This record gives sequence, structure tokens and C-alpha cells, in this order.
Amino acid sequence: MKNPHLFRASVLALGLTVSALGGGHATAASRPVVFLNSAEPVSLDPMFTQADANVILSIHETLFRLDNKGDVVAALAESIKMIDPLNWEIKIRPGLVFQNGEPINADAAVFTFDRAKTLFAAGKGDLTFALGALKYDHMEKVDDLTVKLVMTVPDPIITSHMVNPELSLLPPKYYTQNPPEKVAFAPVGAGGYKFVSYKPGEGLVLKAFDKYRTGKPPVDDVIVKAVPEVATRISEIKAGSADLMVGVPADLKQDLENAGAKVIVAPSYRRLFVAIKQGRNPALADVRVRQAMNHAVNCEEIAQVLLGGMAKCSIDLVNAPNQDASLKPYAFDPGKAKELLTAAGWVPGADGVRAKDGVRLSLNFDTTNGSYLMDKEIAQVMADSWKDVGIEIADLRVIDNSVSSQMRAKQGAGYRDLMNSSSGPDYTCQGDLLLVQKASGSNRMSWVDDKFEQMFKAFNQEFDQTKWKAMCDAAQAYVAEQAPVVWMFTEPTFYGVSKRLDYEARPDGRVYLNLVLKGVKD
Amino acid sequence: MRYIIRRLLQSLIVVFGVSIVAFGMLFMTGDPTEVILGDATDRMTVSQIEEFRVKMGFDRPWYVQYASFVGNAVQGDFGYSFIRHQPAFEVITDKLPATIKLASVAFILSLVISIPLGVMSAIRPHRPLDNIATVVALAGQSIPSFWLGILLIMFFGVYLKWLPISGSGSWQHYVMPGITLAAFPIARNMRLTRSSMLDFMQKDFVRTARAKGISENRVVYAHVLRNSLMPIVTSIGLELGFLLGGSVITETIFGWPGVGREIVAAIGSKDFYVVQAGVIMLALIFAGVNLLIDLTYSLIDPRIRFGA
Repeated sequence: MKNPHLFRASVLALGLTVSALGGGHATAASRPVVFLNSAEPVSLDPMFTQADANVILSIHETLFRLDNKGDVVAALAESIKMIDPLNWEIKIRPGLVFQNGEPINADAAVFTFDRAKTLFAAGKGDLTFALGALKYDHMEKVDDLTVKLVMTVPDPIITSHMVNPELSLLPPKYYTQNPPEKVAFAPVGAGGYKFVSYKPGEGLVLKAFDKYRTGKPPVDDVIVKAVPEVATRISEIKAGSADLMVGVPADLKQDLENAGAKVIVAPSYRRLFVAIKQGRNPALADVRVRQAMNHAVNCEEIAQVLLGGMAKCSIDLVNAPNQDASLKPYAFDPGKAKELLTAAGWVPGADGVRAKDGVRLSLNFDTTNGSYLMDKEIAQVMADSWKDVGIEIADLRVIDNSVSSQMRAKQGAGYRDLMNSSSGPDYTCQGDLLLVQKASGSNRMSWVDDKFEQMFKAFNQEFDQTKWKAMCDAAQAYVAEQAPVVWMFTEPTFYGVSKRLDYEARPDGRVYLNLVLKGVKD
Repeated sequence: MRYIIRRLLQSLIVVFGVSIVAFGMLFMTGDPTEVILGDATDRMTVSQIEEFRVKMGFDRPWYVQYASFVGNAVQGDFGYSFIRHQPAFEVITDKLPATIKLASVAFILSLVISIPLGVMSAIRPHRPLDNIATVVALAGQSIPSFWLGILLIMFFGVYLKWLPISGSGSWQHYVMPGITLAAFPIARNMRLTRSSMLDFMQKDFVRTARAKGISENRVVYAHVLRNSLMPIVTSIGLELGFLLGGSVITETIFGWPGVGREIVAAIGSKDFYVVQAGVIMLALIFAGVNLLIDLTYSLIDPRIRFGA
């Protein structure tokens, strides 16, 4: 370019033209809070999606819900009382209205629970999870603000099962007078945000509902926009054109912070562990071998060195608030691991690998690559740790992430001896313990323990909350001691947040806008 | 007629091949039952999972499942989206207009930029403009679209803040994805125009035209360019299919609400019937456009029709 001024002037002119023609971007001061989701909403009808819990529970409200700490609290319900194990009386808060002005009362609750039943019976909607958890027969109106919920089975944690977004209360008139196709993207609820508009690519526009049960949410206007590519979401935050995203890759944390945004690292409910497969290698049936494997791994060091101290080592099988906080992870103690192995009859051979009756303590380990933070590298460190106490990893196989789901099928029938795995967030003790329950599809270890089965059955039938918590704790302690897995840590969640937004992260990773957006400073 | 039948059969073979790949995807990514159910298996017993497998027909031999898949697909039935609760075919057709709009912008952009640039390069070969155009073309052909897209976002979205980074709604939203999608066709058409024109410029009829004293502009535009357009028109026609099919990456990067992004989202949410419907629809469009071009070409040039 002969004249550099000409080039600069041309670029400037182009920019000015673009800005002038389109009005440019709105300035940060006038912008609503923009939350970047990874996908467009499937539906805004709570009974037709499980994928959009964040927006559903921002627009809608349930009788009970989980607060930011994970505790079940009364929402549209005022109180609940057990009449007998199959009948519950629920009082609804007085004076509340839906976003279209319809009253929130017993009629609305009965309509909602009937609608869910009808849709489920017709094979419509996405209600398998919610109605699989809350097994009710029907709901009856007692008076204007009281309903009776009739269950098909006794359920000691009924309120935990009513927090599912699918059971958000709906205004009867609106949902009766309008066809499902219309209400799917023109919802009316009782949540903190009112629906304004939705257009794919442009976003879901929400406005704070001033008659929300706890008062108007602190942020007035929110746009939920779908941006599937994480690099693009990060660019939006860096450019200041968006305010919030979940799932910032750990290695881009610094990059985002350098651009002036905040990265909140919050503990999550997703637990990572190495599943120990039963039924293949008889050595793994011995609890002492499994305990030794736990003692041999230095989780703290792995978390510190490989994950920058951002993961928390834990032995939690159950999430808060049901978790037994007194349980401590297995201490890193190679000496103890060796003692346990020797006590189990495994003695070191000439090459250091232990053997018993001529059989070497040799295992196969399958690891994913990229399913979890540094999973392949962590697997290598764990293999080395076990080698140090005399357990040989004959084959450390890195498998494709798509194959891991195939291997997990049929209670981990495709696994070899060891496989890194995870368990997702649940809100009930029962739900979390399903990981090791005999008949559960998530029991990928094929671990079957009669004592645990008895404990599981007993506390599923216990209604006394004090006894129930003690039984849940006892079950956790028993499973921790039996070590059906090698416990590792809970994976942290990284939130990218603009400088102007005040945000409170939840341990379940949910972004319920009325609860997590605490304010915006323009 | 034999030519038409032959081309039609060839297109059908392509679609058949794509249908096998699309069907196979369901199995390549793991046990379809587990993949579809995902975390829901945590709440289900082994027998419930098996029940679901039987209900979905995944317990049948693969060839029976494939026959059923093809039988339904020819009737426009690609199954039901587990996520969106509507027919998979409808999920894709709903998103098609956005993809067509973006592809049209990229198509127009590629024509408006590539042909004039190619003509200018050919008129003055090996001069600065030609050299710059050659470098631009080389870059356009060799830079992957995902990288170019991110670069544009970084420069025009993050650094200069001139253009919206993602989504749709205003004309500015078309600029970056349009350029990203058009980069390759621009480069290819520019090179094609240049080489085709240079070729024709050496022909006797051009020399004759010049000898007759016809103005250089008329020689270039009325004689050389007109004759050079044949291969360019073919290439441009094929590009429509490329632009529609190649928008998957661009739409994902820029959050454009089209078929490509829907397919990627469906892959992420394991909504395989939508993936299958999307892949087959894009293959049909591509094969259809190809067929149309071939047939048009044979009408223009009888040598092709007669297998010369």
C-alpha cells in the first residue's frame, strides 16, 4: 500500500458506515443482561422439555424448589402436611397471581397435575423423569388454597420430587384456551421473569415480573441467546456484548480475565471416580483390594498439579443437603495400601507386581480422553500410583468418548476392570445412591451388596425425617467403606461473567435467572 | 434420455450411500439406547432400559432397522425428535429458510467479488493487482472456515466492535458469516475466471476482434468474458450445493439459526433422527443441484449429452 493513511482512512470509513447504517451496537449501559446458552430452547412449556430447566424455572415456578444452596424450600406452596403415607395436604400461598393475572390457587395446581398425567398417559411431553420420581395418582381440590395429593406409593421425600420444572404451576384458562403449539413459545407462568418474545438467532427476551412471589427480581431485562460454539461465547463476553456463560474451558480462564471479565470457579455436583468392575477379575471382589486402590492414589496432588487446585477431592456419593459431611476421603497412604494388599494375600513378586496363587494382580484400565478435565493424564498418574504398591495396569487404553457410552451400556457390560466415569447431580439421597444399587441402570460397576440393598430398601420406606437422614448417612458411610469405586473429586464449573454483573453460582450449575442474577451495575 | 437416466441413477447411488452413513451414525456413536437415554438411565432399571430398546426397535438386526429406516424416509418420515417433540423432518425444514438466506448472501458475495477480480487479474496478469488477488485467492482456498470465522470475530467483533458476533436479526449479522462462507468460492471462482479468460485471450477470434479495431472493453467483456463463462457457470452452480451443505461450521461458529447449527445441536443432544434427516436433506439438495447443473450443461453443450 503506497499510502498507509489511505488504508487507515478506508478502514475507518468502513467502520463508520457500518455503525451509521446499523446504528452500531447498543451501548453497554442500555443493554439488558445477555445470558449465552449453548442451544435454542426446545420448548417453553415446562411439560415438554427437560433441556431448558434454566429458562423454564425463570419463567415458571413450582410448589417447592431448590434454593441457591441446594435446599428444598417452599415456593408457591406455603406448607405441606402428611395425612397418611399416601395422602398429602398442600397449602398454597395466598394472594399470588400468574403473569397474566390469573390467580394461583388450588384450581391451578389441580389443572397442572392433571395435565401432566394426561400428557404422560398419551405418551406426549417430556415427563418420564418427573413422573418417574413423583408417583402420584391424582390431585384434589380441598378449598381455594388447599389441595390433596394422592400418591400411588409412599414417598418420604415428596417435596424433593416436586422441585422438577416439569411440574411448574400453569394458569388454567390460558393453557386451556390456547393450543400447545402456541403456548410452547408464548408461555405464561408464575416465575420471576415474564416472556416478551422469542426468535431463533435473536434470543429469548424476558422482563422482570413485578408481582413475583418474592418481589421483582433485581435485574429488569434479560436476553437468553443461543450460541453453540464456546469460542464464540467467550468472544461475546470479551467484547462486552454478553454478560454470562457457563462452561468456560479451564485453559481460557486467564484469557477471559485478561479481557476484563470475571471467571467464577464454583464447585459442582458432578462427581468423578474410577469405576471398579465386578465379575471380571476376582481380585476386585475383595474389599481390601478396592480400599488399597483408594489409599494408593494421591488425589490432592493430582487436583493441585493437574487441575490447578480447582477440583475438590471427595468421597461424596450424595449431594448436599443430604450428604454426610463428616465422611473423609481415603487418605493417601501407600503403606496402608500395601498392608491391605498383603492382608488380602497379594504378595510382591520379583518385578514388584503382587501375585496370589500364581496369579498376578494385573488389571486393565480404560480412560476417556477429554470427557473430563485432564482425564487421560490423570489415568496415567493413577496407573503409576497403583504400580508403586504392586498393582499392575497391563493395558491403559484410551477410548473414544463416543465408545464410552457403548461400554457403559447394560450396567457397564462393556467395561474391562477399571474405567473413569462420573455421576451427575441429583437432589435426593435415593437418586444419588442409585449409582450402586443392584437394579439401577447407572450401576456401571455391577456392584451388588446385600447389606446395602437392605439399607436402601429400608430408608426408602422411612418417613421420619430424623431417622431418614441417619439412614442415608449410614448408607453413604457403608458404601464409602466398601469402596466400589476409586473416589476422586467433584469437577468445578467455570462461569464467564461480565464486569457489570453480580452473579451467584449454584452448586448444581443451574442458571435460574431470578435467583442467580443479583444486580447489574451500568 | 439415456444421459438423464444415467445421471439420475448416479444421484440415487450418492443418496443411497449417504443414507447408509446417516443410518450407521446411530451405531457408530455407541449403543443407541444408552446414547438416547443418556443420564436418564440413572433413574431406570435394567429391565426398563431393555424395554426402551425393544420399543425403539434397536433389538432388531441392523439390516431390518435399515430397511425400516429407508422405507420411512422415502415417505418423509425420519422419526420423531426426542428433544423437540416434533417430526425430525419438520425440525429441519423449519430451519431451512435461514440456511438458504445465508447461502444466498454468500453466493451473491462470491459472484460480486470473484468475477470482477478474476477479470481484472486476467486483463493485467502479473501486475500488483493480480498478485494481490492471487494471494487473496490462495488464502481463501487454504484458510479453514472455522479459523477464518474466529479471526473475523476477533477483529471485527471483539477488537473493533463493529459487527455483532453471533445470531441473526439485522443485515450486520450477515456480514461475517457471509464472508466466511463465501471465502472459498470467491477464491476458486476468481482463479477460474482468471485462467479461463487468459485462455480465451490467446484465441484467434480475440486477435481478429482486436485487428478489426473493436474497443478493448468490448473485446474483454463481449467476447472473452462471454466465452469464458461456461466453466464458471458450471462451477457457480455447484457452489450452491456447497454453500448450503458447507454452512454447518459457519452456522455453528456464528450461532446462525439454520440447518447446519440444528444438526450440530442435534448431535450434541443425541437427537439422532434429526441428524439423519438433516444429513439426508443436505445430501438431496447437493445431489439435486448437481443433477440440475449436469442436465442444464448437457442442454447447452450437446457434446456432453452424446458422450463426446
